[in-house]
Amino acid sequence: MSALWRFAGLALLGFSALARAEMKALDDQELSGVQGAGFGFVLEDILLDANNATITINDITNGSGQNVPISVKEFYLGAAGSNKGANLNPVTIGRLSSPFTLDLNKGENLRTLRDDGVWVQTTPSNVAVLALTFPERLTGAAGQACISGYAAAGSNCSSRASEKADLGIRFDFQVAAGRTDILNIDIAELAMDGSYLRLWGDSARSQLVGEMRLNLYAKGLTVMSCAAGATNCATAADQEARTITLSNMYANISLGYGKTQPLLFDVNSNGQFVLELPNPTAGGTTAAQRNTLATDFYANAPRTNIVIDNLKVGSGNYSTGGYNFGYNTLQGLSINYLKVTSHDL
Amino acid sequence: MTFKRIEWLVLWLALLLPALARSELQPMADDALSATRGQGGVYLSGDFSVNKNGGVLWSTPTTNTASAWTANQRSCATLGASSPEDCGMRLAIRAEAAGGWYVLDNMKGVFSFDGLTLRTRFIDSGFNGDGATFAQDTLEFGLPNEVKFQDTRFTFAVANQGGWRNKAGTAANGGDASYQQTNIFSAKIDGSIRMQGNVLVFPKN
Amino acid sequence: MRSPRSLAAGHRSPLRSLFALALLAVAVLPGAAQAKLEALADSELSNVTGQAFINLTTDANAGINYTRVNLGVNLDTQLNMKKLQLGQYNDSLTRPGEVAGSSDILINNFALGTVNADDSINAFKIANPFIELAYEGNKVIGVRIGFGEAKGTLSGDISSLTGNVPVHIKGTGQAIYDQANVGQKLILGIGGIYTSSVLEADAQLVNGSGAADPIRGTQAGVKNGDGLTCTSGCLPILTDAALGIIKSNGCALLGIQTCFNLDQFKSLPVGNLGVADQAGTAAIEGAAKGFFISLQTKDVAWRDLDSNSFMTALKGAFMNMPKYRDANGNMVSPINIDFNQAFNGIPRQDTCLGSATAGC
Repeated sequence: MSALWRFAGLALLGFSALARAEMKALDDQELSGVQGAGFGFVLEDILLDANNATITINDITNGSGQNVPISVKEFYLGAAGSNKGANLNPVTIGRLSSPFTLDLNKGENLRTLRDDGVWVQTTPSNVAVLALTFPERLTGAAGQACISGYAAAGSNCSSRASEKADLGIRFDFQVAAGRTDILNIDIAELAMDGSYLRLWGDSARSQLVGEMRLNLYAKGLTVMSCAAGATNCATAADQEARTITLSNMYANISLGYGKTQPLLFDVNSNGQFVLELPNPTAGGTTAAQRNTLATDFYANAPRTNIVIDNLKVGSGNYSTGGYNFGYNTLQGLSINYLKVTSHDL
Repeated sequence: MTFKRIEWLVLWLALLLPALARSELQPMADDALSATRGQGGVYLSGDFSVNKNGGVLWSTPTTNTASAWTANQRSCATLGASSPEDCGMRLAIRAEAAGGWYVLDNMKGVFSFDGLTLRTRFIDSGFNGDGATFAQDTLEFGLPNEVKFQDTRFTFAVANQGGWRNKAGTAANGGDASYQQTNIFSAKIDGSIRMQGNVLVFPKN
Repeated sequence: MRSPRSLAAGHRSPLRSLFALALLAVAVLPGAAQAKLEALADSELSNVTGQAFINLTTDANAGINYTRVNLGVNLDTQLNMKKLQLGQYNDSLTRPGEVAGSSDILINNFALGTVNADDSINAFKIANPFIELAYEGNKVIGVRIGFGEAKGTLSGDISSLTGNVPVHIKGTGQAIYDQANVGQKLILGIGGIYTSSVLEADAQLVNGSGAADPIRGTQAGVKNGDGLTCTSGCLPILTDAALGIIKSNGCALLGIQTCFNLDQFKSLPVGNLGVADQAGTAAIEGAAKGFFISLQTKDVAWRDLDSNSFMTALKGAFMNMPKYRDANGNMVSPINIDFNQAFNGIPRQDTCLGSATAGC
């Protein structure tokens, strides 16, 4: 024991000698020359299958305050063409030229793709923005069809057919004694190109603020309300009667326009959350200033679109118990102001 | 005072090293560096448990009645459970000066994996043609084929204070009636999840 | 300087005591965990976790099961969207006789809430939204998104609407006299209806011939067989008798038009905008209740959360903006306009920031 202590003491002496070569802090001028750089990452040959795991979501209560457990089953992620998870194969998500990125960059260097194909700056200048992005979209000749065979979804995605995935999840809600609601969701040929979450600090508000976009492109999304193989759910006809099919659907959900309408999410002193999109013209004092802010907002802020080319329940034929709701869309949603406050039920 | 031989050696080295250290490290020329190739990699297996038997902040009480808990007692049982349970790790983040907190509460469980690999890989082919134009080194994390979970859970909540307080407890027992935490949802995972594939990480400028 | 050996010896004691303390702590903890656990009554369990803003409730009626996710949120918003289109399909079985290419619900330049001249916001207020699924066995036959309370201005160019949208028209006879020719004015005068009389009528979705037509309706009006009521300023008995005879038929009452194109109502008030909202209460004062948009594969009865009774939504896409009970307990329509607005339409209010008023 004593020898060991002596050795350690001497080793320490040695290290302290080495450590005399000091590190100096960079001064501000040198720091400002540092450019943000980030990581790109690609998920190669990925396959996720949670069939052998039991995942339960708790703390959603019913009207009497009792827990309603939600079981999550049949969660999978694999290559497109898996036939609702029956034949799972690995898939590569993200391309080496358009990977997922985790990036710390200046606001003036970041861009978003506008609906008309022009890249615009949406984040404020002179702030350091932490950005987590999905594979970015590609304009020009290299752009890929976001949904194969459906031109209205655009051709400015970077994911090719080999980078589109099949994703499935099943929720079992034990809503009441003897009654379990099942929602079996399967998404075919999913791409999420152009989605991102950007966060930065707003010194005027003393708050972390951000902007986000969630893009979902899917060739097909089916929701079956029974468990395959259970009563009334064994034959193909039974299963079809209990399936809601969304074909060629895409959603571009945009929250926040960093320059004048950042997304504010906070928790108030009552322990309730508050989600806010402030008035983008609030920064202007004269009518002319407000007009400029409004024009910039309406021209450049990304909008929310949800398009379902065909929504069909069951067979889609009313005479056999189905229904075909046809084309449904919500287009060009722009939010001038939003404040969502939660409260106890 | 007697020194063993090894200790004399270390002592001399300690005296000499400052002299050595003053001779500068020279950067290697780029062509010499590029000729250096990484070899091999790392293969990891692990068995992690977080707060499997509770943590250091709270001791487990005997009942789930919050009003009966004494100071520093807390049970994190699922809503509707009959017996009290140990509590997991708590992480609270405040996104606004003088605002409320986002909380990841009751993080605990055991998870184990076998076969997480880590190595560098130079990619200049494959990937449906992208590899040839890429031609860079990447850090490849090979996912373990199976990750096993045992009673792994967490709760996502919002609260008006970062640290947990017993809302139903008396002041004498360390309670704080003004504390408000709203659990949005909790998740619990048991069993094994198959996750195969590689995560390739590389710098992006 | 102390000798290295004695230095090392000196180091041992603090480390040793720390180690001992650790051992002691480890010995104590399992002991604590061995205290016996007792089962607990259900009533005491509700103290354990905080209240939540989201919950799941169930319902059942006539063989249909319902599951509803309630969100305890208050939403204030002012938004614009270029198009809201639900149910664009041609089907001779479910939509016989409808114009090809039409939709169950189509509103262009849809907006909620308005903007003032100084670009401040008059938000559209929504409380307690929910999403509900209707099941027949394990088959989903309908889904609806509803708002417990809604109040504000709803704007848009309404091309077609399918649903239950009662409109109440109330105003003085002046507007009617303005539309009437000499002969019609004479008849009105004989019936005891004067320019100062306060008259009311109930309007709903109708087709061009005055029949109630809640499917892909393009007009709102007084349906065939309905008439006016006089609430003040009329001659009693005489007016009642007169109004008993004078009924709307074929979109006309005494030759005066009683059906109005929906697209002329570019901004509609939802709820009672004259009642100010009290910030202190969670409820929205003057709000319309029971608003929902639903999609169903057959006619489905949905529960009206305000009156607790069930109302039937027609198959297809359906918008329900029902009558509701106000603070005084009276059943009122969610949209209340006067006769001037009925005849001449309601101009669009400013819903865009900056210089634009619409289409932003």
